[in-house]
Amino acid sequence: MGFANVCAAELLKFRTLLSNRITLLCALAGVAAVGLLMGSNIGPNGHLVQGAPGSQAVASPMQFVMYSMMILGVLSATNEARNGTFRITLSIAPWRRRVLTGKIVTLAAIALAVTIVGLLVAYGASLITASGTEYAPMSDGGAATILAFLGSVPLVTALGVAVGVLVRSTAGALSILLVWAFAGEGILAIVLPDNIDPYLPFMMVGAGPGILPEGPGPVLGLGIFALYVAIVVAVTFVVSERRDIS
Amino acid sequence: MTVLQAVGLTKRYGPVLAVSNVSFSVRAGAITGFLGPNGAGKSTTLRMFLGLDRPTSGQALIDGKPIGEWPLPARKIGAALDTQCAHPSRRAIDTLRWAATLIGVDPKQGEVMLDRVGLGEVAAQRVGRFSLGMRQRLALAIALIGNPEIVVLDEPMNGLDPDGIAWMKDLLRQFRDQGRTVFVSSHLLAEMEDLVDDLVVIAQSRIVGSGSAPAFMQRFQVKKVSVQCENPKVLAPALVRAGGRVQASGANGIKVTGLGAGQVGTIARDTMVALYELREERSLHHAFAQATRDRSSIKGEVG
Repeated sequence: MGFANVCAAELLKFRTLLSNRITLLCALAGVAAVGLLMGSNIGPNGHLVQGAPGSQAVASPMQFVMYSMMILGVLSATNEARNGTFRITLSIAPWRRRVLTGKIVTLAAIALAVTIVGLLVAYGASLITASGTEYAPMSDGGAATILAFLGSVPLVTALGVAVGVLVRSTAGALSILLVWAFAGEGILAIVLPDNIDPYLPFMMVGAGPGILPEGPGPVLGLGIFALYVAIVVAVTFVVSERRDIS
Repeated sequence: MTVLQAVGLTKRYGPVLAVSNVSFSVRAGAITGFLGPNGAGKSTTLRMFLGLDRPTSGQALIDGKPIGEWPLPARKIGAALDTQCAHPSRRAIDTLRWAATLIGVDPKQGEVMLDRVGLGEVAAQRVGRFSLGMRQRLALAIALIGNPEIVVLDEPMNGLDPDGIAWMKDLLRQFRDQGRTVFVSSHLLAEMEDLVDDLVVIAQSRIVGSGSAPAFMQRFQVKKVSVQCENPKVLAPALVRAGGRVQASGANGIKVTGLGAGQVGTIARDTMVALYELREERSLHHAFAQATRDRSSIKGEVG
């Protein structure tokens, strides 16, 4: 019973829940809709009429994919804790690190695949409504902003799984992550010095780094975010190795 | 040959001592009942065998090794610990398929197992629609998917109707006949009486007896003889004189403790009282009650 079995089982678990598939379809539909909207806001110079670079027409819709995958990451862990599937998994494969690694790797791989599809959908949709302009989202550093999603979405998904395993409660885990991402960092951005707040975790991933004048930028930001995620995952490994599975 | 062995197993949850220095062994190829009242520590002990709960001290060994040291644990041991064993929105067959995939067996085995536990016709249904008894069967199917040598079941009769209980008992006997070891916990003593070969009895987190079921009953059975006779008024004083304690039971009936059936029969013959019925009352329930009455004074192997 190897790591490949664990990953294959996790993939099957994910695929066989209708709610997961619906969530992903809704996220991609959201990407398409926002992509069309953003494309329609592209000015003749290829930038958004509000002034943001054209890459935002791809990056902004991808927020749907990023947060949807984070939520699915949380649910993949907390649902298993709630309905006994985690206990069954560990009684079949009593190696917690291997099982947890398999779950994170599988969900991250799914996130990567969905991200690739999402980027193509966002680009295609924005291209439709931006026709007749000089729209070139990959130019002027836009490539880094857009391609960083290939790393950030899997990492955010892994973070969701790790927090879900740690907290074991859907409401608790989602509250922690979403309140932190949408409220916590917003408040901290007000009180922290301007040269520090761009280094808050969710400031460094997604559409933000492409438009924030200060901060590490999309690539270095992704690296720092990966470090934050690695710390949370490491804590999750230590805690889950020690605690009882009720 | 011992296949399950608890060695000084202790589990403490904060101030609560759930299992206290428990040692016992389960022999291969037998049905061993793990009996005890609710909260005695049965489920905790089983979870420690499966590596789900970490022992505070001691070891839970499966064929000499902790479960995690077996390369394919699901081939060695399959467990159904809870009816809460599957995502309610997932189809039963998909639940079996991912378990099969994890173990590395053909996912088609899922259909075979669902047929075996009588859920073949509802394989495509979502588990959330299942009754408690159906979930019990599903948990058993998951436990069996790896074709394990040892089957561990925690309260498998819960939620089953009388037909379901009879089915479960037949299935467990089939496992034994196939040479598998069955370790089954229950607080329903009456359901276990005609099923188990061996017993491990736990009360208040400690083992109060283990060994063969007949030997356990022999040791802890209160000698109680039920008598229906021609003239209890004559027989009863004779029984009391012989050291028995007598209690009236209906018009012609008496219940005697402290004397065996043979002694009662002999005394009835000597007093010229005709017996209509002479029956020694034996039950696991009585033996269990006796064994756990003074837990602290009764320990160790039986039989």
